[in-house]
Amino acid sequence: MSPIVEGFSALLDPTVALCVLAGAVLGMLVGAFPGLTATMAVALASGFTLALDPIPGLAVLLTIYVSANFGDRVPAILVNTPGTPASIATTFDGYAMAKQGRAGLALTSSAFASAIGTVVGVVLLMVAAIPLSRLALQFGPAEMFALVVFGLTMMIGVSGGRITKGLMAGVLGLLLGAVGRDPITGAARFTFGIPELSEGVPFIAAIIGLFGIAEVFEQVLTHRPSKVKPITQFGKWFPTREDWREMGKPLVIGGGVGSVVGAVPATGGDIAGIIAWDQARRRSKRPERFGKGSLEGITAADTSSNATLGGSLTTTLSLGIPGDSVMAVMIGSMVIWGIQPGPSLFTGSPELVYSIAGLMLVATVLTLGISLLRMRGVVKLLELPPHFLWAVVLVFCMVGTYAVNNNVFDVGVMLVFGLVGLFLRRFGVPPGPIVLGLLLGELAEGNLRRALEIGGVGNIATSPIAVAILTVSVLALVVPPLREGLRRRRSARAADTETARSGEHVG
Amino acid sequence: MPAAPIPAPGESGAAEAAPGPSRPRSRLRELVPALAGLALGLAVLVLTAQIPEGAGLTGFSPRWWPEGLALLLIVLSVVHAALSWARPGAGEAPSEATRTGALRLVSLVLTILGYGVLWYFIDFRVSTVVLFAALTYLTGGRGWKALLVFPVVTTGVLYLLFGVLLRVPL
Repeated sequence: MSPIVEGFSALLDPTVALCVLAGAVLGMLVGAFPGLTATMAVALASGFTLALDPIPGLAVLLTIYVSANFGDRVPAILVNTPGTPASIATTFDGYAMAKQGRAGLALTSSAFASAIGTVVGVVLLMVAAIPLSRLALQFGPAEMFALVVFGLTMMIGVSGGRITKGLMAGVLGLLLGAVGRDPITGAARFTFGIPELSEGVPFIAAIIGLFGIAEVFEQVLTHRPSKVKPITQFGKWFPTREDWREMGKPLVIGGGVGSVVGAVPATGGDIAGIIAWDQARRRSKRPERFGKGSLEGITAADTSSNATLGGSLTTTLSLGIPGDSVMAVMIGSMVIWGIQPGPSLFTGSPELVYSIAGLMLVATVLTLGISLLRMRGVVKLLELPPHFLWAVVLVFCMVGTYAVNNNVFDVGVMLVFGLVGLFLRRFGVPPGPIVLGLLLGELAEGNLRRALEIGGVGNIATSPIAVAILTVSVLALVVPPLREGLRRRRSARAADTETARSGEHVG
Repeated sequence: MPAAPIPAPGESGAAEAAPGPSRPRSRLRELVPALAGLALGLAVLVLTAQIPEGAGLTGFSPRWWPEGLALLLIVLSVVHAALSWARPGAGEAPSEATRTGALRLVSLVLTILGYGVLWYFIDFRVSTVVLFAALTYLTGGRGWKALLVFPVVTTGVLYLLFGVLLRVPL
C-alpha cells in the first residue's frame, strides 16, 4: 500500500476522531486563557495520552498544538493580552480593530488566516520532511553533534535577555541529561542511590514542573486584578470580497515567512508573527494603518505564526531537533511510544508523515469551524476568576505526572522543578534551553564521544557540514548582542551630537 | 506602533505576555543566577569525582562529559557576573511579586505537600475534593459554588478520566 493511503487511512479509527475533538476543545480553551500556553497544555496532556496508542495520542497532542494557536487570538483581540506568546503580533492590529467596533471581523479573519497558515505549513511538512530526513541520514556523529549545538544555540539566541543566562540554562539542561547511566559504559552518574534516577531525570515530570507548575506559581505570586474589560461590540463577522482582496498579499507574506522561520530549530510563532507583520507593513500600500487596526497586519501575523507549525514539525521529525518548545515536549511522548524522531524515522515508517499531516489538516478544519461558531461564548470564559484555573492546572499537573509511571517520586520531581522554574522566571533565566538540554543531552554526549573516538577534533573540523552548522550556531549567539551594542553606540553618538548642537544654539 | 506588551520570544509562558509593572534590572537580579550557577558548577565538580571510572572500554571515562559541562557552567557564571557588574542592563524585569501572592504561594506549596500525606491515608476522591477546596479558598475563591460544587465536579472529571478511562491506580 502507498504510504499516503496507509498514513491517511490510519485516521479512520473512530477513537482518533474522538481524540481530535477532545484535543480541539482543550486546545481552544488553553489558548483562550491568557496564562496557559500550548507547551504547558501539551506537557499536561502527555500525562494521560501515554496510555493511548501512538496515533490517537498524537491526535490529542497535535490538535492541542493546532487549536491553541486559534484560541489564543481571542484574548489578543478582545483584551489586548496574547493567549499564548504566538499571538503577540495579533494584538498589534486585533485590539485596535476591536476598539473600532470590528471585533467580529478581526476574529473571523484571524481564524481564516490561521487556518490558511496551518495548511501552508502542513504542505511544507508533506513536501519537505522525507527529503530532509534522507539528507540527514548521511550525517555522521560529527554532523549530529553540530545539529544538537545548533538547536540549543538557536533557542538560546531567541530566548531574550543576556545570552550568558541562556547558555547557563542550556548547560544546566545538558547536566540534567547526564543524570542516570553513562550511555556507553553504564556507570551510574548522580543517581544518589535512588533507583528511579538510574533511568535519568523523569522528562515529563520535569517539563510539567518547569512549564505548568512554575507558570501557576508565577501567576499566583504576581497576580493583580485586571481592569481591562473584554470588548463586547463585535460588528460584522465575515470578510467581504473587498476584505479578502486586502488579505491576499499578507496571506502570501505570512505563509512564506512562517514556513521559513518554523523550519529553524527552536523558533516559534511569536517571532514569525512579528517578522511577518513588519514585512507586510513594509510592502503595504497603506503602512500607516499598521498598528491602528489594519486587516493586512492581523492577517500577515496570524498566517505566519500558524505556518510555523508545519515547519517546526518538519525539523523535529526529520532531524530529531525540536522546532519549538511544544515539539521539545512532544518528543518526550513520542519516545515513550517508541517513535524516535530523527533521520531514520521516515525511512522506516514513511506513512507516519502523512498520518501526522492528515491529523493537522483535520484539526485545522475542526478548529476553524469551532472558531467561526463559538467566539461569543469564549468571551465569557475571559471573565472567569483565575482561582478556578489555578486549582485545575495544579491538580491535573499532579495527577497527570503520577499517571505516567504510577509513581509518587515523579510528582516530587515535578514539584521541585516547579520551584526551580519559578526561581528561573524571577531571575530572567529562560527555561526553554534547560528542556532542550535535558532532551538532547544524551544525543550530544553520545555523538561527540563517537566523533572524537573516530578521528579526534579533526573529525569535526574536517566535516564541511558540521563546520557550517557550528559557524551558524556561533553567529546566532554572537550577532544579536553585537548588533545591539552597535545600535546603542549609534544612538549614544546621535544623542551627543544633538546635545552639542543645542549647546551651540544656546551659546 | 503596537500598544500591547511584548513578551520575550521563545514560548516560555504567557506570564511574560501578561501586562505588569516593569522596573530597571538590578545588579542583584543578575548576580543571583551567576552565584547559583557557580555553586552548582562547583558541586557538580565535587560529585563528578565520585563517579566510578569504568573499565576503560573507551577513551573517555563517564566523568569527562559532566566534568566538562561543570567547568563550562563555572566559566559562564563568572562571565555573566562580570558582565552584569560592569554593564547592568535596563531591560524588562519580571512582574513585581505581591505580599498576598507570596503568602498564597507558600500556603499552596504546603497544601500540596499535605495532600501527598493525605492521599496516602484517605481515598483519592475524598482527599482530592479537600485539595481542590483548599486550593480554591487559598487563591481567593469563596461561596458554596467555588468551595463545594467546583471541587466535587472537577474531582469527578479527574477520576473519570484517569481512574476509570485510563485505569490509573489512584
